[in-house]
Amino acid sequence: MVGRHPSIWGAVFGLGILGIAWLERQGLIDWPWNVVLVVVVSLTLIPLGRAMRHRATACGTDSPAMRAYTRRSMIWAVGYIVLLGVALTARNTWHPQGPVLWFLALLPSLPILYLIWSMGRYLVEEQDEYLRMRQIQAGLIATGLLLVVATVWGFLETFGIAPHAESWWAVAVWALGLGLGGAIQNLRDRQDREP
Amino acid sequence: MKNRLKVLRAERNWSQQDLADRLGVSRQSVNAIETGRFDPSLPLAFRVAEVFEARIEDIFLRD
Repeated sequence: MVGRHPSIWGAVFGLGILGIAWLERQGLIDWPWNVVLVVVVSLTLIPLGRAMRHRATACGTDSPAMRAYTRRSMIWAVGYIVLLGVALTARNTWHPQGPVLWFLALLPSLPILYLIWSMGRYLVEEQDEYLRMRQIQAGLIATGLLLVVATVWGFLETFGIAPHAESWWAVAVWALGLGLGGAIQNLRDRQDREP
Repeated sequence: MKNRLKVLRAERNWSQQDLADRLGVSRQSVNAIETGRFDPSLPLAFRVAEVFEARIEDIFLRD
């Protein structure tokens, strides 16, 4: 099972979380079952992490820094789901105001800040200059994508065509661009692979 | 930048992974340098020269 492509585990995890969100929105599940399901779905992050490492070894892109980055990715992903769930549940249940509301509103951003720190940390810790350059290039592709999406969406919004997009989508779009950049590089590396 | 990495490896019967292990880098790095997609830094170029017991200019050639 571990030998499966990381994208399969990623899809299982993503679809699982979306499924739970849908069930909750439809009122079909409530506390504590939503938390139980999130924990069960989050368990797929363990084989996802292993599959990512196997993939990196097979592609020749494994390094201690990359392993630490993958481990930190698991931490922020689980932390984000848990803290977002806690913050939304607490707001919807107790309707707090003032400092408590501020605290709850900032809670889901903490794992994202950790993610941003871990990406910077990877660049510091990576001793392999080619792998470091790959990550920087992927980051530039991601930044380009984010700027394009933000500019186009912003004007569509100004002219009343597109609905308002919350600014926290920026990290999601950027992460998508990072994945896209990595995929482009893997494709390029595969073409030149030694037989 | 052109280089003679592939030839030097073949002479020693080393795989890309063998060379990567000797240099302390990933196999993908060796691949990228060998195919000319990535020019190594000076410290890494010196390490390559040390591993092959050759001069840098005998391994890396101007285009």
